[in-house]
Amino acid sequence: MVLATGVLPGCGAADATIVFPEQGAVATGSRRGEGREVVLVRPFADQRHEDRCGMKKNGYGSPIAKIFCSGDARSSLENLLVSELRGAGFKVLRDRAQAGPSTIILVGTLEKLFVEPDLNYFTSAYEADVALKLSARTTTGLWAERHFYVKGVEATVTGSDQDIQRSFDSGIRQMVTSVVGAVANLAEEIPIVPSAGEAP
Amino acid sequence: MSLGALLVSDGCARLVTINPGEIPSHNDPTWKIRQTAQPEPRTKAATGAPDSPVTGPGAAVAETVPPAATAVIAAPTASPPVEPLPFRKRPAVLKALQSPADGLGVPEDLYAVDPLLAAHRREMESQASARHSVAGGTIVLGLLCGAIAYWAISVGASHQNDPNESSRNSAGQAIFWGVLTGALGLGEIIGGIAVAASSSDPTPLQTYYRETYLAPRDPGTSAK
Repeated sequence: MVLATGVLPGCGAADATIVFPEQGAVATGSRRGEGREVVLVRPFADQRHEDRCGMKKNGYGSPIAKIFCSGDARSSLENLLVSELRGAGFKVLRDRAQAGPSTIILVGTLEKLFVEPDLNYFTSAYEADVALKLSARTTTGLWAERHFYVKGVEATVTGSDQDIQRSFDSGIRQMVTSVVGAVANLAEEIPIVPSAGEAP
Repeated sequence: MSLGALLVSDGCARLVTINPGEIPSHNDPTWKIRQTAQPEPRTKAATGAPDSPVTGPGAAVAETVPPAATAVIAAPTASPPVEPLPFRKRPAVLKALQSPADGLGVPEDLYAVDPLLAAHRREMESQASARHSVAGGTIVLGLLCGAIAYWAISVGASHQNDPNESSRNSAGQAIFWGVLTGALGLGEIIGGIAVAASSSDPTPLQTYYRETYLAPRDPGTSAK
């Protein structure tokens, strides 16, 4: 029974694939955007040190299988951020050239996206770390930077692929929510400059 | 108890992810302003300079030049920038900020007016729900192990003085495995309690709350 408990969190030594959650699964319901313009410059830079999205480990902490992302992780995250910024009321422009003096231009760097089990002697959990660095600029010269780091956690007994997916979903939801909130707060600091002849 | 907690807390080290306690050091609580925006140049309206040789003394010219002429020669002025009303100063939000605070220090009514705050809270509750389920299952497993251990030890103890040597050996083994199973059960119960007592990481929620509602707008770090 001890051996079974020790290896149970790592059982299922086959590689696993995780998918990014649907836009509806990360929707916050916020409308703080209020029509403010945003441009998300794509693609994000990729500073991850891993070519995989996670690992499975046995009871001794040794990697036994890989976890891969379905599709390109960067573009999937970009799509989610764009869709949720729109859902939050931001006007997401497609082209940086369309940016006005009040438009927030976001440039991102994906620094980490990894799922790993945290195994203890009697309990375990899957943890999904997501790290993103955002640089925000305007055509009027504003330049701001910010690091985001979130951890999605799903306590587990069996370490199933469903638990891996849930931890990943949690991490992505937290990242999207954090970014939308931060951009909304930054937008409050930037005055809305109407175009010439346009009423404010 | 301390040994049990040590067994519960220590385990296999993380290879890529970081410890939860390190998360705040990897997060910026607010935007770091590297460069502030440059003010838009104002457009001057040409209304006739007081020292113009054509107009002569300024006061006399001001009385004689008709408003229509002034309007024709005046260049269009740019509309002034509009300062957005901070979210925390909206009437509904101001009212919600007066409500009693919850265990995280956030006014309870604020979750209803700020969906982003509610989203952070839902995430914490979702993690807590999974944790409690695992804790409950672990404790039940520990109790089951304890019951099996009690049975094995009691059977072993009752046959320790059996005249049959083989029976005495078996009784000894039953006691041995019963003790091991009991220790495992105890560990499971302690582990389950530790998991149930742990809490979700409030960093994302508290970071958002402080930045949106508490952080003072320092002119030195303002984006304006």
